[in-house]
Amino acid sequence: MRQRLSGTSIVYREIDADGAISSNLEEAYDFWLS
Amino acid sequence: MERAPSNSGGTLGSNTPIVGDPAWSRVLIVEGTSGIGKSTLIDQLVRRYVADRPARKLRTLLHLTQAHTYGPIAVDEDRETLTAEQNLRHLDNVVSMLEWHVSSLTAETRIKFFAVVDTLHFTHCHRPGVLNWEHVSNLDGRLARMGARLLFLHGSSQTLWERGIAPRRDEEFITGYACPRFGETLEEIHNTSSRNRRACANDSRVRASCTAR
Repeated sequence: MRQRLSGTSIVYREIDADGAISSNLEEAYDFWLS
Repeated sequence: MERAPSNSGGTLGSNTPIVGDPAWSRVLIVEGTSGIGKSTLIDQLVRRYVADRPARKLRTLLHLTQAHTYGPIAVDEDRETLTAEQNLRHLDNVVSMLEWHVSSLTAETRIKFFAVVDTLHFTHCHRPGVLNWEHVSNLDGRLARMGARLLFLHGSSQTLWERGIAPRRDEEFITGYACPRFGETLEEIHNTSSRNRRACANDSRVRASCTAR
């Protein structure tokens, strides 16, 4: 899910660093390039 | 060469500059407290991008480390002389540089600019702490207009210790940066980073408006 921060405009997403590094990479890569 | 659709707001000979379409750029800002794994993730993102590209198809790739995003204000932070104006001027320089890369792509029909930025305005509202969201709202709007995205990395205090502090006890991050800024011992550094982690996470939760796009 993409979110916006209240009072700001930029598209925003949270990633849980407690999760597997490999799955974080996939999610971050997709968020960057999509 | 096929040219981009004429949505760039100007023509040659007019006084209005031709501005590249943000559709041909991908700008990612990675935020999160020190030691949570930003640099590790960014390292993997950049390597993955390069590995995925065919031969001779690498595009403009910009990786801004904290040497550029945070380092220039660190000296005045340490001296306790940093002002909001100085901090804003530095952020403006970074955002302007990104804008140039995006706006320069006036003749493209494919993505030609890829950028990953290790912390920017979100972090600066917490550390050094001379700025607040009202200070950076204009910069945030400029980043949004270039299509930039903000990725916030959050995690538990335990993850911070296990991945960000304990394994790096002999690395420059601990010996040359975190100590003595965040504390004299690993435990003190962990406590400081954990407080910063909670503050950032609380701020992001308060600000997240959950408007899915």
